[in-house]
Formats: sequence, structure tokens, C-alpha cells
Amino acid sequence: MMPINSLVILGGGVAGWTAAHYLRLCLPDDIEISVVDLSSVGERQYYELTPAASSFFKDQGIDEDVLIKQKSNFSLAKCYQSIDSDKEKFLPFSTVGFSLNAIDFHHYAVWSNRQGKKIDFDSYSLASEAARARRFRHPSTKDNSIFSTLAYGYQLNTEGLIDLLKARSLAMGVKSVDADFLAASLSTEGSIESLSLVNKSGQTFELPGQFFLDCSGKAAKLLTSGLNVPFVPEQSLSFVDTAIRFVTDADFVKPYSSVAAVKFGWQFELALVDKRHIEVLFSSACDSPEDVIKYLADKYGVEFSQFTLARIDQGCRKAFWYKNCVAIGAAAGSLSEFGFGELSLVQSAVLRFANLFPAGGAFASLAQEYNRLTHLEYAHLVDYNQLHYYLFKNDCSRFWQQASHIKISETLSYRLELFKATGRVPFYEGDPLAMDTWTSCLLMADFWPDHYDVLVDNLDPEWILAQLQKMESTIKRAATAIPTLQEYLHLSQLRV
Amino acid sequence: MKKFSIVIVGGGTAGWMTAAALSNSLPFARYQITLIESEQIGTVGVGEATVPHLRYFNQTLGIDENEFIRKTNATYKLGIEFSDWGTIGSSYIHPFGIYGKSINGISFHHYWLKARQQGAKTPIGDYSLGVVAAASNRFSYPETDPASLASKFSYAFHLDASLYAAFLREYAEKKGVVRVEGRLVHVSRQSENGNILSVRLESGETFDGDLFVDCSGFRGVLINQALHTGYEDWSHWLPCDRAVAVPSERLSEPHPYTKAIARDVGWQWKIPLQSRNGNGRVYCSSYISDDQAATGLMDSIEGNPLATLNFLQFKTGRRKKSWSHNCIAIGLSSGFLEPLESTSIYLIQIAIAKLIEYFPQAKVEDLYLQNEFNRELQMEYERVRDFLILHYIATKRDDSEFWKYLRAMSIPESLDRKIALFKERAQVENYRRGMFLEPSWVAVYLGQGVIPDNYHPTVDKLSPDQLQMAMNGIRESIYSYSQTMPTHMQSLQKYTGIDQLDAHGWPPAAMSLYGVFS
Repeated sequence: MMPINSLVILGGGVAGWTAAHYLRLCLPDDIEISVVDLSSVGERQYYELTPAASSFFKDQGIDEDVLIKQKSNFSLAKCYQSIDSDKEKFLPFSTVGFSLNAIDFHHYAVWSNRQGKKIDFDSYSLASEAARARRFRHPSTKDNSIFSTLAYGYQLNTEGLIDLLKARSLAMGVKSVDADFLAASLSTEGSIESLSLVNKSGQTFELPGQFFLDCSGKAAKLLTSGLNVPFVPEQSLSFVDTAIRFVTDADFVKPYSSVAAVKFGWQFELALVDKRHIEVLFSSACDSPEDVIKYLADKYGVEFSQFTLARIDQGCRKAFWYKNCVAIGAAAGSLSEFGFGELSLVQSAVLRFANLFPAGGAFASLAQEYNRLTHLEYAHLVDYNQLHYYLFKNDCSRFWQQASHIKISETLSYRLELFKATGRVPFYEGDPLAMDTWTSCLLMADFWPDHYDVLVDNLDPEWILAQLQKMESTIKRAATAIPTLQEYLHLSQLRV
Repeated sequence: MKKFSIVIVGGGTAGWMTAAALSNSLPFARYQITLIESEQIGTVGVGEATVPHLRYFNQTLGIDENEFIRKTNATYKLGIEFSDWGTIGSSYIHPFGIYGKSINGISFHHYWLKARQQGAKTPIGDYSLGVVAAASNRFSYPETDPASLASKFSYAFHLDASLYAAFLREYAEKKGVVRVEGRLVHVSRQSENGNILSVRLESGETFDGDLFVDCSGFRGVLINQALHTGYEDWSHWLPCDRAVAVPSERLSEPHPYTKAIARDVGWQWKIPLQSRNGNGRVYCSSYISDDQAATGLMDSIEGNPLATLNFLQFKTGRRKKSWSHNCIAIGLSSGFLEPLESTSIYLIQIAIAKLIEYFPQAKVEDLYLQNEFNRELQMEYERVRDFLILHYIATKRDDSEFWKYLRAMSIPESLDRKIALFKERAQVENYRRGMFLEPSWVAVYLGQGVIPDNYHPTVDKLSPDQLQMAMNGIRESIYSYSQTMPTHMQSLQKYTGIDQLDAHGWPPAAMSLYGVFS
């Protein structure tokens, strides 16, 4: 087999240009990269990104300031609200608390809870406390500084990012082909040989390639057309089938995103610098879109025309890398944005593909490895999704009655049982979420285990209480030393 | 309040490492730790070659590294030299460190593969300071500046396992561990749940316990003989089932690495201590008799033997549950893997670390902690197993029935997949947990002749000239640094000499084979 010297990316949304830009930087120049810039890939405009994105951008020389100036925002935590309480709880990106005597902090939190001294888990996190007070600063690079415990992601407006990635990619020699997709021509052994495209003036032409990326969005034009790789719906979540999205003005700027369990289902909110992007996920079997829109229009004073309605299909492809084609982004799969949003998955997929990029010769093992790792990623994220339905369960509406029937996976059952019985979450190779994230999510939602590390009992209770108090007050004090996000954006001249 | 009672059955390396670590982590006021051992039962004592993780163990216990070296007759170890594995006459060192440095985010071995295709003859070992230093019999501590190539290696020790056990015994007894001399004759179990209630010694003395730790070696007097926990047999993949060991006079300077020499059946080790050499041969009884193995060993050792031959029998595999009821097996009682990559003490250490991490609650037989402990250990054992099997199948040898069997043998899917991935495009399967990560897999693949035709395309971003310059730069700086390093013996004397009693200058340790800064 010939060495790969041409890569064709079908897409041109944020997934396609993310792939094009990253691969252009890391592949040698004799591998030609073309992007078929489809008129629409049906992507959303706003996404949440985990802290991994910060080095992903930095490594590519993409200046974070530029993103923020283009109306993206920082994020320190996710704010949760359950249906029956007004209390806001924060799940930070960074570890909560500090370990004492080589025992993780959360065991002391459980200990305290078992002693009858209930604590708010999130108040032992500087990131949470700062987020709650709408404060932000970059983490300190000094290991011994309390400010080094801040980790941040982004609430991203892709509008500016796509333009930036595209302009930089073109400057580095990526070819952009303005056309729409008609069909893929396959070789006798079933690989893609070329794409039949049509340009704006209606002319059709062929674009040959040796390797293809399907970044065509949910339609997954390459994986479905000819390659016939089926979409496997995630049965447990398939009743959640509709999204309503709208944008409204923000009254203040917040360094956190939000998710709330609401009567219809879930309400996600991203806080951009001057706008709020709100998405409500619900089940069309339980509520009609008209009712949901009417409710939201009344509540937020938004015109009907401002709402967009979308069908959502949670799940993923049976294979992501099939023959000489890899699907990235919505073409690969889709899950609600708990924990690790869709654009984070795009970045993770691009890194994985770049790492496993084939040379000349066969690539069956590389493809198998890519698929193995990507399936693990989805499987753990499905667990994390299911966890949210479990932690926020209620019986306030038909949606939540339906949600109570979700059959949770074996691995999630194991996670919950182990945590309940021992105060520990299990380690799984290939889990994109840190063990700390699982622990913090469970405790933030007041899922308190029956036990904690028994070695905590060897310590003097007075000493532990004093340490916890000290930790809490240190964090409180440090939080007040952080400027408000508003001030910080002004000071850093990120916003005038 | 009644103390929580822990009874450790068996001394030796596993028993005393467990006793020392538990006595360090558990307050004496609340825990009674008893260790039962019998002087009549010898210890296996083959675990004389260690890996850098042991330094982390010592560090956690607050042990003075130099005192430890003096008391255990230890020498430094930078890696293992494998001879005659890929083919007769070939040889490589698997270092405790990484190769070169990654360029444009791609691991160094991809660059080495391209240079090789362009005619370069330099072995990959020339790009690892651990290898270069070991091969030229030099040693010094790794640098602590992460930017320096001289920070990218680590070290372990060759030690006298029985002296290490004695050293840890002193440590543990100071912290309140009670040692009982005696041979165990009976185990009583609770009728309602099958837990171990007590053990009785030949003397008639009985010891009750809340938690029992089985460090009794292969026999597994508690985990196996009393609790009948099943064994997963891996001998179809790792067929060697016997070993014969003998110490001998050391006539030459001790080399700062372990030797593992493949033979027509099995392989032979040589471990240089300050006072002597440890030697031994691992073999498979289906292909060679004890006498033949012993003769082969005696004919190839340096200096006179210092003791009689010690024969050992084993079956490669893993106890299905390392933790069953209120009993935890640590060491050979929980599984046996031949000492080809010095994994025995690591597997003891990881079991101890997990025992402390998952220390049982009042209800010791708690199934959740138990399952999770067993799941983690299973992962560790299986990853080590796959890595060991690789040594036997990445070879062109077919000079005996033994090697012919190995060539035809089917291997675990988890290993098959890894090898296919490497052959296809020099890709090493990436995982986060486990003893051996990418540099080790690269060492064995390339050292034993698995040389992929393809490398990562990003390598081609460097022009041939840039590639050559980068490679030469790394090789030369490693070589010139190595020339400034003192010899192994000089460093041993300098760091651990009697006049250095107050020195505490050893570098920090990490739970990694490759050092703190790799």
C-alpha cells in the first residue's frame, strides 16, 4: 500500500477545521490536506471545554486571549441545581480539598458527615468558591500556591474559532473546497477512492483522496453512504430526543456553566461574556415542543422566533474508523454535555487520530486501537450521563418518571455500589473522566457513602476538625483575593 | 478498646515488607501486628534484583537509603541485560529510563527507526543514559533538573533478600511488631462465614486475628491450603516450572545491572552483590532434568559456589483471589511469575500499597473492598504476565524443543493486539496503570528483533539532516555525560562509605520504572 499523501476532510465546521489545523501542524508537508467546506454541517455554536483544551490550543499556538475577545468565556466549574432545591452546587474541574496524612480529602468529608457534622463538599474547593462569587484568575504556576489548584476550561463561542482555524489552516497550505457532497466512490475492497461533489455553480466534480475524515455532522455522510457503518443508539437515553436552544442577554458575567434538573428534563446554560446560551433537553413523548417553548418564552421573555428545535440522537457509531475513513464530531456520536462536551470529544478524537495516524502499509491494528479507545470513551461517558439521571431523580413529571426506569450499566452499578460501601470510585483504563470528577460529582449531589477510609479513624477527631476548619477558612480567604471575572477581563484587557 | 489484630504468616521479603509498611501506617495503639515465621522453613530469596519502585517503598518508610545499602550488601542497578533472547549472540539492556526525548510530540523510537532505515547502525541503547552508563560500568545519581537528559533514568538495587528481611524486621519490631517463632500446624475457621478465626503453632500456642496476611510463599498455607482459593494456571504461556539457585564468589567488579541470559531451555540470572554473586537458572522440567539444569548452571558461574544448590518448583499463574474472606495473600502465595524482569518485589509492594489503600473496615471480609483490591491486582499481574511472555515470543530461536514450543504457542489476546500494533507502525499500546510502560515495551521489541517497517509520519517533518543532527546531539551528550560519571564501585563507596554516614543526598523516588523526571 502507498504511503498516505492526501487527506480529505468532509465537513468544515468546528470539527473539520479543528482536525485540519491540528493535523496540518503535526503532519509533514507532503501529506496534502483538503477540507470540503460544506454549506452546513448542522453544528451548534456554543460548547463547553474541559481544561485539556487550554493546552490543546496552546500547543497549536492559538492564543487564548483571542478566543476570549471573540466572546468566549472561562469556566472554573459547573453549577448544578436539583429540581426541589434552589441551592446551587458547584462541581469544579480541579480536585476538591487537600489530602491529609496521605488520605484523600473526600474521606474526611465522609467522616465528618458520618459524625453528624454535615458539610458542603464544594466549599472545600477554591475553584467552586471563586465560581460561586463570580471570581476568576488564571492558576498560579507555583506548586505551593493555593491558586495553583485552580483549573479552568472554556465556554466557547465557535463562531470566531472556526474563522481563526480556517484562516490559519489556509495560510499553512490546507486547501478549502467550497462544495456540497453527492456521493463517495468506493474501490472494490470497499475503501473510499474519491468524493463526488457539486460546487455553487452546479458543476459536479471528483475529489480523490487516500484517507478521509468524516466531519459532516450528525448525517455522517461518509460513514453512512457506501461504508454503511450503523449508528448505535444509546437505548437507556433514547427517550431524551429533543433539544430547544436559544440565546438571551446575560445580566452578569459568570465563570461557570450550569445544569439544572427541570420539570421537562434538563436545562443547560453556557455563560458567554455577554450572552447566555440555554438548551433544554426533553422527551417528545412526555412534553410537546410547543409547551416547552411557550413556557420558556414566558419565563425568559424571548420571541418564539428565537428558539431552535432539534432532534437529538444519543449514541455512537458501531465503528469510528472504518476502512480509510474516520468519523469525528457529531458524525462519530453524540451525548448530552455532562462532564465532557462534544467539542472536548472532537479535540480528544483529533489527538488520538494524530497519535495513531497511519504510515504506508496496513492500518488494521491502528484502526482497531482507535476504535477500542473511542468506544471506551463513549462507554464511560454513557455511565457518567446515566449517573446524572440517577443522582437527580425525582418524580415531579412524566419525564422524570420515565428517567427512573433507566437501566443503568453494569459498570455504573459497580461504581455506585463500591462508592456507597467504601467511599471509593474504581479506576478504569480509558475513562476520560478523572476519578476525582466522579467522586466530586457524587458528593456534590449529596450521595454520601456508608464508609470512608478506615485509617481516618486512627487520627484524633479534634485534629481532623481543626484541619477541616483551617482548610475551609483558607479557601474562603483565598477566594476573596481573586478578582471578579468582570474586573479580571477588564484588567487583562480582554474586554473593553 | 480491643486492638485490631493482624497476623502475618511467613517472614521473608513479603512478610517483613508487609509488617514494616503496616507498622508505619497503622498506629501501634490500635493495631496489634504479629508475624509468625519458622527458622526451619527457608525463604526463597530469589528476589535479589529489584526495580526503582522499591526506592519509593523505602522513602515512604523513611529509610536511610545508604544505611539500607550497607546493611543489605546492595549494589546499584540501572537495568537488565538480556543476552541470546532474540537470537543467539544478540544482547540488549532494558534500562530504568527512557530513550532520547520525544520530538514534535512523537516518541524517540520512531526517529530511531527512520534513521535505521537510512542506514544508521547505532543501537537504540546509545540514546539512553541508563544503558550507556550500565554498559560502561558507571553509576551516579540522576540529575534533578527535568530539562537534562541525565534526569531521564532511575535506579534500583541488587540486594541480599534475607538481609533486607532482617533490616525490615528491625524496623518493624521497633514499631511494635511482635515476631513469633514457630511452625503453623492448624487453621481454625468460623463455621458461619468461613473466615479464619485463629492459627495454631506446633508449640500449641494459638493466635486469633481479625486479618490474616498470607506471606507463606508458593504453598499459600492460608489462602490455598486453608481457604482453597483457586489458582489461574498460566504455565501454557510461561512454561518454566523450576529454578535452581546458587551464590558464588564474585571475582570481577560488580556490574550495575542484572544479567538474564537465555539458554536452550529457560534462562540464567546473574546478580552481583557487594559480597558475592547470586546465580540461578529458570527452566522447564518437560525439556530438561534437574541435573542437566544444575550442571549447566555450575559450569557457567564465576568463582566458587558458596552454598549448596537450592532447587525450587513453581507453577506460573495467579491466585484467583488475592483477598478472600479475611485473608490477603502477598508475595508468591498470590501468584508466581518468573523473576525475568525482577517483578516479584514490585508485586509485593503494589499489594501492600493496595492493602493500605483498601484497608478493611470492621467487617474484614467486606466484598466491595475485596473485589476492587482483587480487580486491581489482577490488572497488575496480567500486564506483567503479557510483558514476560513477549520475551519468549519475540525471538527467532528454534534451537530446542523448548523454543519450538514457544514459537507455536498461542498468546493472550491482550498481548497479541499489542504486538500487532507495534509491528504495524511502531505504536505501543498506551495505558496509565502498570509496571511496564512504553520505554520498556520498546526496549524488548527492538532488543529482540521486532523492528517495524513503518514509523509515525510526523517523523518526516524533520529533514534527513535535521534528523541526523538531532540524533547525534542526543547520542553525543549522553556519551559525554556518561564519561563524567564515576564507576559503579566508586559511586558505591562515595555514596555509602562509612565516612558518609551523615549523607542524605540520594534523589527523590517515584512509583515509576523511569524516574521522577521522565
